[in-house]
Amino acid sequence: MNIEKNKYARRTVLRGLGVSMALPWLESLATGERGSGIANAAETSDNSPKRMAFIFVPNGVHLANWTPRRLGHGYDLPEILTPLAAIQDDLLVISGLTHDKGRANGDGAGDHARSASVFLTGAQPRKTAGENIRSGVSVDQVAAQLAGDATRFASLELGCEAGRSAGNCDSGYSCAYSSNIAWSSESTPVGKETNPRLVFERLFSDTHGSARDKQAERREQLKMSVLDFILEDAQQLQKRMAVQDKRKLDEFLNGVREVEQRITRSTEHAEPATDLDYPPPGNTPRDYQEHLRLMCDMMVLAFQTDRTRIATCMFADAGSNRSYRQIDVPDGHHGLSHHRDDAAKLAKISKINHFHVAQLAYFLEKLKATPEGETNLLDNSMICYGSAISDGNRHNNENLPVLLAGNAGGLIDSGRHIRVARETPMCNLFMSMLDRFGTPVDFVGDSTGKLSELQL
Amino acid sequence: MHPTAGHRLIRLFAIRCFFPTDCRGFSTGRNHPRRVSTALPCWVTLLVGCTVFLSLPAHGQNEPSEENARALQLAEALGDPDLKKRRDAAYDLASMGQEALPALDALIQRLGDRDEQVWVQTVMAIAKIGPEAEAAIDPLTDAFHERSQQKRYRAIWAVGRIGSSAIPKLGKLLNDTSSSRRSAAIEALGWMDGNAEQAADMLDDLLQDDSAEVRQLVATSLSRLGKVGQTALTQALNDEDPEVKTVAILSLDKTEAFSPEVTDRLFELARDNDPAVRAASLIALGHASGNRERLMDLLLEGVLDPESRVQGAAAHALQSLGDDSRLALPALIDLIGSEDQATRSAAARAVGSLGNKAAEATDALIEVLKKTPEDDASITNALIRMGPAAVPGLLRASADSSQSTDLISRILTGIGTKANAPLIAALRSDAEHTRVSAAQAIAAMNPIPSAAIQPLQACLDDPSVKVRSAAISALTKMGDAVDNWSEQLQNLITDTDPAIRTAAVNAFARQDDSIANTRILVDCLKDKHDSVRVAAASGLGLTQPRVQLASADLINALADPSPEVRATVIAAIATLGKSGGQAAEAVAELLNDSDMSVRISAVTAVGAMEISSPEVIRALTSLLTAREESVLAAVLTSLAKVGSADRDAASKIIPLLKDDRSSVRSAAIACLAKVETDHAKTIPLFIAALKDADWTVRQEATASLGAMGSEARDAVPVLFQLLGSEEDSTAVRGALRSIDDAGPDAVPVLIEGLKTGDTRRTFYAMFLLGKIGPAASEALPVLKRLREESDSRRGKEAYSRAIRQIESKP
Repeated sequence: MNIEKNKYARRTVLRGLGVSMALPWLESLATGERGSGIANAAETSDNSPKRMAFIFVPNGVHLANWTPRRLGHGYDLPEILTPLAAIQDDLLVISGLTHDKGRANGDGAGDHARSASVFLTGAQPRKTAGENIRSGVSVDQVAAQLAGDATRFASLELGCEAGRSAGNCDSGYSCAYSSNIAWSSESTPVGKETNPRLVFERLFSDTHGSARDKQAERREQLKMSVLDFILEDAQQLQKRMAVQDKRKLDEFLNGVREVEQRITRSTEHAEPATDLDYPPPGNTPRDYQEHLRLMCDMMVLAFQTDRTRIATCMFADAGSNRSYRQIDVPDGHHGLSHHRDDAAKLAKISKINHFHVAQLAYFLEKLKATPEGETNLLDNSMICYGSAISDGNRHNNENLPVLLAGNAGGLIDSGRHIRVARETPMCNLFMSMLDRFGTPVDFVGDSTGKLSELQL
Repeated sequence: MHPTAGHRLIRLFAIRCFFPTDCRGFSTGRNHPRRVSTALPCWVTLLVGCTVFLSLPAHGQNEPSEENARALQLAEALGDPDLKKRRDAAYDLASMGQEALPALDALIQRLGDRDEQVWVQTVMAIAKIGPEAEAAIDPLTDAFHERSQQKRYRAIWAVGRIGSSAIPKLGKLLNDTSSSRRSAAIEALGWMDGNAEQAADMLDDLLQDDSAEVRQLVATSLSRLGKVGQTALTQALNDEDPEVKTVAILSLDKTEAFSPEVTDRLFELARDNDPAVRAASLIALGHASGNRERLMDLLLEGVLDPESRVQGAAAHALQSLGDDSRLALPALIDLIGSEDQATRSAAARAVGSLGNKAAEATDALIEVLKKTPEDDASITNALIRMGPAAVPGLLRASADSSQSTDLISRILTGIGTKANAPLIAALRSDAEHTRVSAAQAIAAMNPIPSAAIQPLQACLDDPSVKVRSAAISALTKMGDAVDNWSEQLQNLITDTDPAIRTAAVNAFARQDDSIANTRILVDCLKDKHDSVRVAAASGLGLTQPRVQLASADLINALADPSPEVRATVIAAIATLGKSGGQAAEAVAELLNDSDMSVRISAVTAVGAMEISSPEVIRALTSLLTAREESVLAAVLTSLAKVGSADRDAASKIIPLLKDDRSSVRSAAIACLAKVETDHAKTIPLFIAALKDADWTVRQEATASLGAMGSEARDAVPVLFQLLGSEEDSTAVRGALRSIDDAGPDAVPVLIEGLKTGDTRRTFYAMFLLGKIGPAASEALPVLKRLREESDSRRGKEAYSRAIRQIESKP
């Protein structure tokens, strides 16, 4: 029997040939098997790890349909936020934050590239299309560098558009700025993964590089699931578990299988690409919604199995001009964002914003439906969603659309709409998040303090 | 006097050992375990460094190390007039940590730089030098009065990082006449983690300051000093000023410093005279683990407090007690009716956290919902959290017609499948509103439980129109799962109520395309009620076979008295496209309808059906004088499809290129590109449009020129200029590739493009110059130079290709 305690995160791990599957928190494994070699007793529902994820959407939003009219508890949900109705109590809608370093500040055009680069760094990017790029360390990487050794992967960087990493993408700004939000140093963007299958392999493979690819290829040829390889371990483990945990383990394994099958279906029986300007990256789902949802599933699985506690996801790259035919918006997103107050264009932008928020809702609801001790994953998380441009037409960087979901294990009083003072740096929110994540720093980006409003 | 490089090296090693910091782009919090681990290797390095230093030959002492030389080089660049160079130098120095010490003088000078990036990075560089940057203390404290929050924050932080040598200066500033400098000094002491005890002592003294504002700030700074500050903060709980006490409570709460002494004091302060102190104490006690029984008594007292903020805080803290808070349920139910929204919300959340154990609060929550003009999320969420226990109350509430059934349905939907059984039972209720709410909630479910089918079918005979409508809507969503649904719908189409007939026709239109079904929809075109006829026309228009079968009836329906019916019928007929035949003529006649919505529908239809008779085009062009944007958009779209048949159409479209609305200008360009086949006439117009202020217009002109291919070569100079524009770049690249040619007039612009240093512009310039051939010989020197300078094989090849094309014989 290969079941062993994971050295990284004290999670029980099922092993098979080339496969290692960390299990979610289960009571039987926490208390019932002490001394048996399969316990993950150090974790209880009370000290569940905190998770952080940051989701970037490009081109700003239609603020009139985003910003709730009422402040505090009992805020209304404007049109774009309606998909979040079921989890409204788990949300903090934050109005008034600013990314000053997304502004030109003497550097001229290039607002879109700056918006992605500044989103998590709060640093003015150096205007260059060459190799001498410079931004700042992003908040996710600050946390990853301070606490990433607690899990197998310090962080996970995901996206749905395989943007270029070099060359000029926006008025003299390197594509590295437009295509990345995670920066491990001032000059090193952390490339994102756009292929859900590769992420899946990373999460559940215990080999690396070409060995991992060969294992995956073999499984695919044999039409086998990762579960087939850990079945024996799982059966043996189940014999020693409480009935309720057996059911939970079943649910978890079924969930993994379902995601695995969806990855296969989404690439095997793919519809032809409909948007020639934004073809899906190689071997990734043709259906954009399915692509987004699979990436969200990857984050849920990674958090659930404690493979990482930090993730970033770019729903689309900065300035993306992708069309959204699946919701009857054939126009390019970026083109529409220059709406000039045209009602028809604004309605279409709202639809796109609504679509993105619906995918966020999918992610958050999945986190909420994933139990962890007596709470759930969402309760132990901080999911920051937003854009570093407020209105796509004005390209302004103040009063940004920002949502913070989850309450970091009770350290955030959610279910409110708060409005912070004018020009409050977005990085002040990051400072508060880092505090709650257990990785406090003196500052990040252009922070000038912390947001006192997260708690009553 | 400057120390020698050797002495500096030793100092640097020593600093690293005592003050380990990292050189990353952010600053870590204090007391991080990784700090400790970095110190040990430094001791080893120090010993090795000393040994190396002592063994150096004498002449080596005056030679700067590589790091020193770099720092000095960057120090020089810091004074460069070129802003980019100054910024780069400041960033580089900020990333050097203590190695930037040789540049300290230059860094101090740069504290006068007006560029914020240079200034901030300069401060960062100084801060990372640490205690050795003592000389920067005075200029940094001068920045304490900066209006920019960013600059003030960084200056204060940097002084804190310099550490103990700043303490005398800060001590002086604590007595400064400027309150902003005093405040900054207090804040800086909060950053003195390397000298936390000394800083805490100074701050402790200030807790006796006469100014309450100062004492509040002191409490905040003490909270930053971690455990060292806790003793002083505990003392601050006895301050006479309520705001100081509140800040101290919140600071202790933040650090979770709940010693028995603190907890006891918080219990006392929860009965303080000041409501803010009482509220803060209750919230903090909610986070402190301790005597739950004692806390419960206190919180029960808190919810009865005369001050709403204390009530809210007590309700909030009650959530920490879990099921035990049920004892407070009666009091919480009273609070749900509070006038204060925050209190009401806190109470609702506390009730919601009890889930189905709070069923008795349902009526109170619903009562609040009835009073609030708009729905209140905390109330609705509390009801959702209560789950099935809330369903009977919700359905009872729906009996009151003043309450929004939509809202009730939303809450029921939020409860999810757990609400199924009570909802299905409610379909048989005697109260009409209960049945309506239940049916609407079921209709909103996805998926609808199969157990609801039979009760919903029974609802089709309900005397209430709303119940019958909701049942139709729900059953339609279930489709094939409902036996004999088509037959039942046919009966409902003859219902006496027009709303039921409309819902039934809409549902029936989702059935198959059989002749019989089409006939039924055709019959509905004669219904007395407009909405039924609109539903029938819309249903017929869903598929082409239906329209073909019903074309004669649809043509007759074009004379319907209702404009909405006429417009819907036109849209249905338009699905026939070119094969419209007789129907097309009938549609064309409605171009002059008295109703605008009908005219727009007809204009769109003639385009879709490609009716290009002179009468139709005349009618369309006459509408080009319309002012309404929607009419013009429809006309231009249709003319683009049929207008080329009329020689004069183009001349009537051209004035619209100057319309004050960009959407009209764009549509006019797109239309003109289709209507006017003589490109010589349109190219100058489109080139002019490339200079339009609106990028959507430019984009349309770009695409139209691109579609003309090499005929549009005159547009290349302007298009090339647009290549650098963020908005135009994608479309322009496509157009330039399509045009694939450029006239000699473009040569100067393209040569300039070669010099921009921008890869994309260089590529297109090189590509187009090659296409021009010998006429572009003027570009040869630049191309050859760039080929020489290129360090990429592919780049060299591309330049060579262009050069070859230009050098080829004419």
